[in-house]
Amino acid sequence: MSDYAIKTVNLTKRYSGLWSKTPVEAVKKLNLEVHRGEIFGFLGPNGAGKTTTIKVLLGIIYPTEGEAYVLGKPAGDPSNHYNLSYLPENPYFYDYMTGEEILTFYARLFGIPEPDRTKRVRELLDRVGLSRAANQPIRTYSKGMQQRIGLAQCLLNDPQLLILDEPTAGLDPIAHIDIRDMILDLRAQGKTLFISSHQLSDVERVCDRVAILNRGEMVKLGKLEELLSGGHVELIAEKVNEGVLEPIRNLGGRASLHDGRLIVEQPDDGTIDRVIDLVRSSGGHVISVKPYRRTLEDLFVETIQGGNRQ
Amino acid sequence: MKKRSTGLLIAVVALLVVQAGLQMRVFPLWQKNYAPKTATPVGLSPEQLLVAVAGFREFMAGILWVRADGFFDSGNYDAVLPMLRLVTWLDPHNLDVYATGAWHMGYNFTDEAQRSDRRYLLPALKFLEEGIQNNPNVWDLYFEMGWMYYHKIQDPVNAVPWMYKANEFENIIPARRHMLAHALFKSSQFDQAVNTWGRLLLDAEKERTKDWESLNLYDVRQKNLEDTILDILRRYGPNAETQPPIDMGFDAKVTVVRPRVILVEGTLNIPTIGARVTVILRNKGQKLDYTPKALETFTLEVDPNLTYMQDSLAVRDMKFRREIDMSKDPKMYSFKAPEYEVEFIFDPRYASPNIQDRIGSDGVGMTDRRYLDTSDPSARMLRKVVTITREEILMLRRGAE
Amino acid sequence: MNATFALAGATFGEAIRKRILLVILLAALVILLISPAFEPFAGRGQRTLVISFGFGIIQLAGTFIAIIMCTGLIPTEIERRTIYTILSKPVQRYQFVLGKLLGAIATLGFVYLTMGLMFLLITRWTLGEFDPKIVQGLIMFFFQSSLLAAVTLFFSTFVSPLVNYFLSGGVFLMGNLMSTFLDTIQRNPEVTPLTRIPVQILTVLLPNFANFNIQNPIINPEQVLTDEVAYLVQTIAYAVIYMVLLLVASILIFNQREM
Ligand SMILES: Nc1ncnc2c1ncn2[C@@H]1O[C@H](COP(=O)(O)OP(=O)(O)OP(=O)(O)O)[C@@H](O)[C@H]1O
Ligand SMILES: [Mg+2]
Repeated sequence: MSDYAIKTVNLTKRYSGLWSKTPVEAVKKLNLEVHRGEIFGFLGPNGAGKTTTIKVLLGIIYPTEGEAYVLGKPAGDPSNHYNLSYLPENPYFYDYMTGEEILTFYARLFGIPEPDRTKRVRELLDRVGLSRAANQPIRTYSKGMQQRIGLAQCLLNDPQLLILDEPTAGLDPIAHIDIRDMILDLRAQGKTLFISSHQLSDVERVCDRVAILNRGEMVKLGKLEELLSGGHVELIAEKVNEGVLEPIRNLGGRASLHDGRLIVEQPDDGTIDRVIDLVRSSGGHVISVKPYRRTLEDLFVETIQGGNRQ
Repeated sequence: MKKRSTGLLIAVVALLVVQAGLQMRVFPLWQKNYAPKTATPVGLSPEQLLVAVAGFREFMAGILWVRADGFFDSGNYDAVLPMLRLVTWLDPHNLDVYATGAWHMGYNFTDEAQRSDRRYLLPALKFLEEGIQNNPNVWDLYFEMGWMYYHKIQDPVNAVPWMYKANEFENIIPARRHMLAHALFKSSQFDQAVNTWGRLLLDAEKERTKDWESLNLYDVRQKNLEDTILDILRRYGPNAETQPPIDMGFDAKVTVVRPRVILVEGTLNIPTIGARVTVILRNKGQKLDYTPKALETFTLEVDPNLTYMQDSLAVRDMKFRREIDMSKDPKMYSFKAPEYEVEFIFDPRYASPNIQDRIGSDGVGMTDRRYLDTSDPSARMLRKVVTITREEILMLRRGAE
Repeated sequence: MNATFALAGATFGEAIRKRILLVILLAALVILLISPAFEPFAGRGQRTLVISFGFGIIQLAGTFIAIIMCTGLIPTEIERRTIYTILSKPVQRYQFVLGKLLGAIATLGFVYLTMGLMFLLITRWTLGEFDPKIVQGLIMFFFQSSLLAAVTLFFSTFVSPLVNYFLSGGVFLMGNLMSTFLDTIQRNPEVTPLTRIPVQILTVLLPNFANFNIQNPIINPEQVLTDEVAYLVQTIAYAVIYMVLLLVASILIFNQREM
């Protein structure tokens, strides 16, 4: 069990409203296994149950059924909290405090003694680029600065596991890159990152594995390369004979021919070489061969539409 | 992982028990020492209650008292009494309200300078008594009570115990102690009066060198002691000036001159000037009893059908005569009862010293063939009671005497 | 413990910046300052007026500040999600509640200190004397407000702030009047046990706020007091025990709570 940074077994969370009779099932029988040292993307549209799962992991709410373990201990175990950190979505802090004061406050919650505390706070302010704004009240910070303070408070305890809920929500593209770089940097230090998001482009490139959640259920899980494999290759050729169309179609792709111009969409399974051979042998002229890999976006939309159709 | 809560639940229950025990210990102490001594909160609106509970009792009482004072001045006594209740409920330690309130009731609820509506004497006494119950550890209200008997009711015998009580306090104003000796003297307890002056003199002697005031106090007490002894010797010693008794030839009569207006006149053979005869008009047989025992049954209500008017008539050339107009104030003179009585009293205890020198403050030097009243052990008095019917006062039928 | 104090400090820091509380405090200070000017309205001496009015204002301000501050302490943290960053740190829920209560008490301490100093200054200035009993009275009112803060904090773990205003206000009024009410009932022979016993039970269970009002003998110093020190000690002990009771109950509920 301690190989997993996070593990859930048939985790189910139902919110039973005081007034409404039908409870909301925010998470249904979720089985998650997050390895140590990986960046795990926890993806899903709004209302999928991502934040709910994270709150269970942190012990802020309790599971209705099933179990959840974090760093080898039951979720919510106080000793865990020395080794993990959490950045809520749209974090908000006591805004009368300055950047330095709020970090000092959180450092005290971690029980970091002086003089380490001051040193650590200064270090982190520097690291997230807020040294100059350290003595301004948080009230005066921009959204990006507040998110960086949020990241800094996550790093105070040098955690093994970071749980980031929508870390890039509402930030501009440059800030996205900043945060992505920081995430990569943390993985390089051997930390586990559990990142929830409904935006894809920024995490696409850094997640080792992702789980896709829809309406509380996990609809897809896997290594990023595997999930993204199975794209296609597009070939364009000219002066192609009618006669090769049939053998090419037999190789499994879609092919069309107009005025000697051939467009083939061939699965990315190595058969494209045979297509090229066939074109050449018939005296055709290959103009371009372009691979189209699947993006996370495609995967996301495909899976969820599939799920919604049921 | 939900927390186990059995332990906490047990702790809550245990603490509830502990706090309950402590609360039952603390609250009686609070009531004894710190609670505002409250009468029933009758007639108090919820908002007033709220403001009062919020800690502004004394402040509210202060505002009300100022208003009540205004009503006294304008003579609106019906508004004053409920207000006094409220003020004392809110702030039962306001001695001023008790003292002034009782004084207003006893002295100022009148229709003319000399003439007073005695019905209010009972509420005044009752009011003072309540004040004493709420403030048993200050001398002021004991003294006020004694003063009420001594001066307003002119009953020195019942004033004495209250003056004794007030004298028990260390911090009573020194001159106020003298009233005990005066009350004793007026109630003909001459030995006790001399003793009291003597004791007061000894007290003053200890401190006479302290300051001018103390020296003055010493002088006053010394003079009073000497005067008292001299008076006693002159009036009751060998060859007493009060003997032989003189015949007062006391008589009085009542004539209705117009409806609700009576003429009272009479004779009193007192040779010196300054004597006064008290006249009382009241429902027949409804003599007021002010004694402490009767106090228990008093209420603060006054009976609207009762009339109890008292006036004082000066004697000139051995005659007295006064027209008393009772047509103006139907609240004071309802004239609902079938019969009334008019009482004429000459009381030597409250006569001026020059008269007392001749007849004694206890009346040993006077006699009267018809109206001498010796029922009061502290003094001989002259008393005549005349009955008069409602018809006569209202002149519904001719023929009043 | 460090975490608890950090939370208490943050609570204090935030509370004393809250505009509504500052307005109440300021208003109380101003009214205290001009209270000698009310003299013409008071039928009694200046001493009675200044002291009773001062205590009244201070108690009223303390009550409002305690309730208004504490209804929001926990719900606001949940609403703006600051509680998530806190509870994801090695902070136990009981520490969070304790920190909130300590912060509230510290705030009340500050409020009472300011008002108390002003009050002492006013009494010194108008009456020309310094009465140490006033300090005693202030301390007792401070404990009263602290107990009220614990009551409000307790309710805030399971009811909305609006409901809490009325609940806490109601408990405060009841806790002020109940025992006197009970006393009246007990003296009335016509009251049946059917009425008396439930009232008795309720009185014993509810926090008694009347105990903390000791202004009466301060305004009327001629009263003779017995067991004064014992009374003060026991009443303070009562406040502390009841506060611990409310704290444990709050923790009990807060532990089960989902946010
Ligand atoms: N406290 C709550 N009480 C009742 N229902 C809730 C509560 N919190 C969340 N839900 C419901 O549970 C479902 C999952 O919500 P959750 O916040 O976990 O989604 P999410 O994946 O984090 O969405 P988002 O991307 O918008 O943050 C939603 O339908 C939401 O309405
Ligand atoms: Mg969310």
